[in-house]
Amino acid sequence: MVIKKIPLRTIKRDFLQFFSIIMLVAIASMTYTLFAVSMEDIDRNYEMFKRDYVQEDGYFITSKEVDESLLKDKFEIDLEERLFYETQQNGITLRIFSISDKINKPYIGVGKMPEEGEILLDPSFFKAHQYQTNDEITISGQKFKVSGIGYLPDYIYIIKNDQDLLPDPEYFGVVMMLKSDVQKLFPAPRVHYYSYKGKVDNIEDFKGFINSNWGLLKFVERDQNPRIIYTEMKVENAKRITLPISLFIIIVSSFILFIVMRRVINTMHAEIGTLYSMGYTQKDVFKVFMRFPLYIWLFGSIIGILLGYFGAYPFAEFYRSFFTLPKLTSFFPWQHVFVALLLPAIFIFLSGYFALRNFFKLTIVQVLHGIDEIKFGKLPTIKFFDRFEFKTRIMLKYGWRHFARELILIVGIIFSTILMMYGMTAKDSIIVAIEKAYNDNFRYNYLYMLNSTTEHPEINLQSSAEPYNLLAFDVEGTKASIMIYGIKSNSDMIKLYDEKGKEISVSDQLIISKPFANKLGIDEGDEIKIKNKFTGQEYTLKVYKVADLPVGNNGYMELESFNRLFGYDSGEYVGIFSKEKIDIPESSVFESYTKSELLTTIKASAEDLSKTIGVMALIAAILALLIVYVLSTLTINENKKNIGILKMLGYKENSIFKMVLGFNYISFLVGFITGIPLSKLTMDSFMNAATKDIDFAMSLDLSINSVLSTFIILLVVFLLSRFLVRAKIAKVMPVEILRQQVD
Amino acid sequence: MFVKAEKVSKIYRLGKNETRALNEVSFELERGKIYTVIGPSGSGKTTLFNILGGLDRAEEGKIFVDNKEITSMDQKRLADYRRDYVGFVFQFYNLINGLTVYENVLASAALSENPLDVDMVLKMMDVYSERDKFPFELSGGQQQRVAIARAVVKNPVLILCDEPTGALDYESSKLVLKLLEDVNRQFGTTILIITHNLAISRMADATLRLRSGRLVEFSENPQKISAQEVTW
Repeated sequence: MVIKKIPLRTIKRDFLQFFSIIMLVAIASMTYTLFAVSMEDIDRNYEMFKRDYVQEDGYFITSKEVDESLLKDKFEIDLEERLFYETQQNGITLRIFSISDKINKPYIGVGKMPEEGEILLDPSFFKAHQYQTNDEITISGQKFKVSGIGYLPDYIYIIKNDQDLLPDPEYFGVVMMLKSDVQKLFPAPRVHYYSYKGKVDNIEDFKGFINSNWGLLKFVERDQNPRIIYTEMKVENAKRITLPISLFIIIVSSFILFIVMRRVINTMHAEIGTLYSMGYTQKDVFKVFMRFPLYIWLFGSIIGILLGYFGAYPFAEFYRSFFTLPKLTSFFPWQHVFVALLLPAIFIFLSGYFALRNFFKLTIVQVLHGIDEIKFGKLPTIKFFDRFEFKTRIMLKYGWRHFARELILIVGIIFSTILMMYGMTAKDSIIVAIEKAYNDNFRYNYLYMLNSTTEHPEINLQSSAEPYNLLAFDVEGTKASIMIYGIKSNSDMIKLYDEKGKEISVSDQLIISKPFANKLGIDEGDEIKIKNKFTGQEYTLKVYKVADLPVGNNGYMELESFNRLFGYDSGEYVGIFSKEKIDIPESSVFESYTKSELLTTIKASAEDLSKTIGVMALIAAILALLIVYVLSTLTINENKKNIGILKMLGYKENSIFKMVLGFNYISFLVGFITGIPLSKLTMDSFMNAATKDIDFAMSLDLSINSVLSTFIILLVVFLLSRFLVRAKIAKVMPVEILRQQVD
Repeated sequence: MFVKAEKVSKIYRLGKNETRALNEVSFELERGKIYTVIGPSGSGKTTLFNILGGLDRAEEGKIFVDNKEITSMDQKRLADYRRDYVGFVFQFYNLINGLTVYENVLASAALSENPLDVDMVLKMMDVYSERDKFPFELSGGQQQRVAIARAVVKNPVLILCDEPTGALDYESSKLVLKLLEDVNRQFGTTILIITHNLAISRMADATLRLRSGRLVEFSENPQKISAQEVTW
């Protein structure tokens, strides 16, 4: 049938209009494919890595060497001691592990398994310092040869401290070497580090048993290990946003297609009527016109899938390098390709069908004469609008006339606002807020975690240092945990403020951080039931105040009250906050870090985040541009006659533009303003959902900067699309309209 | 009789108002002749055109074309009827903008079991040199000739023309009328022309005059002249 050519030719004729819809579908398919394929790739590789290289179910650190066979038999687990040491040189911290045989075995990405005098480096550190295999590296005065890159299943997200948010390979790296080499370097282990594999039925018994026999210093289950769980959380998050974003774009494009299809059919009414008169049936016409959605779907989804598919592997590679995950397997993600094809197909064909269905209800004579033609140019008669001056009245009437598309425009702007704000807020929340917190709340420059809770007579505390005590608790009825700090009242190191900025004085009552309160949905005056992670002892504490901290599952109370409540003697502590570096015997320190290290990490990571934000802002901007452009073009095309008549009457292009498309400004503002609280709501629920099952809490707050930046970017995009549309008004020639009127 | 209309009526309803667009119209048309339908606006000319062409349905009465009753046909059979029996020429040409001249004519030929050669018809209509152009690249007269070619190419027994010269200048109108006459002579096609232009009636074998939905006159034209002789 030669008439099959009509849709493609029409698309070619109104290329930009259809191309915009095709691009919308392409973005939707691309977003889905990109995220789904890359996450599947990461997921599969991660699962394989976890299984084949035996990721631990937890680790613990004791002050004495444990009786491994006793523990294994009693709790039916597999257990392996890992020699562990940390050294600092030139401001760089290296965490050294002995290579395990059974649990957390390293995967060699490049090079070979180290022999004596050789080491493996973690991939991020290796890359950040531009090492090559066979390079020499000096650790604690001894030279080692780099034999390659090693990936550890329990160090996927390589952060130095459990509370760090971002990895910093410039200043922190993991080194793997033979047990014998670790022993040579550090003959007397200060603490004992064990990884275990296996399901422990009663974890409290397990911890209690270890603690009572060998002095438990630290116990971290796999699900609470940020070096493992952050990866899973980020992959889950990415998966969680994939479908809603793609679906939203597809639905918006389908609505726009519906409007465009109706318009196309309407402008072609006489041609369709003629096809009927020639003897073509409704079925023939349906088949021809369903080619519009067919082409849009086909071009859009194929472009999108190709972009997404080819983008997915570099994207997965970027993610993998971020998480230091190896690539163990390759696969073709046919199921995602199928979904990326099917998802837009459903909505696009439905919108095409509905656009045609109404038309098919008309008789052939109605189709030939186009009864709807009058409707499209007609402005509504609403008395209320008549009180305004002519131009405003016409502008309002155009807005009312095209209410459905103004609504789509509003929804599009809301979505772009949310997307862009999400990116901006991620940066604000993680970087700006934490920087602020470390200036306002955490005023120490050095933090020392000691390897026992005693009075520490060996340490001479200066006036610039404050002791603290710390205990980890599980919160009953949830998977959350809380770290409660015992700190000095009137502490100079930790300053807590309420939401109004008023300082909270530390007393014998519990103060909790805002993200933790938000996560559990608790407030001042509520009670929480907590259980000591090591001893299993339960406590019920009343929340006295909620402190405005940006991140952390933290609680605070006065040190002596803390000691009394949790069974420590007066004067005992486990850590020190200090303004200055202090001399502590090496054997007493469990771990330490400086605030400047943390802030450097955050700044270094800002670049990576900026890339992500850039991508999100770009997608949001393109979406906004396409939506505004297509809808405005449609309005201009539909109102060419009116525009021509207004021109003949002597109205200038600027006035005509304001009259016909002025309502868009209102829609834009409504969309943006509505988008702000919705962004906050979406992000909060998103963060809650993402962190529901894991031990992490963070507040996402919108800053004036992110609101302003989003507004400016979207406004520029909006004005750009209007600039493009404006050229169309200039092209409307009154003489052509006159000629059409004669016809 | 090739076309036979028996008391055909068509009523349009808009709310409580009823308009009898056609009121018990009866007539007979012979095969291979040219007829004109004249009458003022609202006289029912276009309604008759639509019903005869199978585009609309009569409320009452019967129409037979080539001994087939089209008034009782369902939509599918009406589509077949339009495909096999009728060619249409509209005032505003109604060419398909997305198709070239050749393709517009081919779209019609493709439906016919016994089509004429597309190029031959384009040559006959003197638009062969424009065969690869799109409708918007042609003048009104050229477009109407393409529309006639599209109607003729499927070799119909009846061509219905609704104001075929209504949007054309004098010279183009005369050329279009001549082409219709040529088609009638060469292929023996029955042609029914709806027009406001009384002068065109002079080239017809008979004229139906409608007023307020009624057929007020059916007059044979014993002094039929050729299309070239028609002037106004």
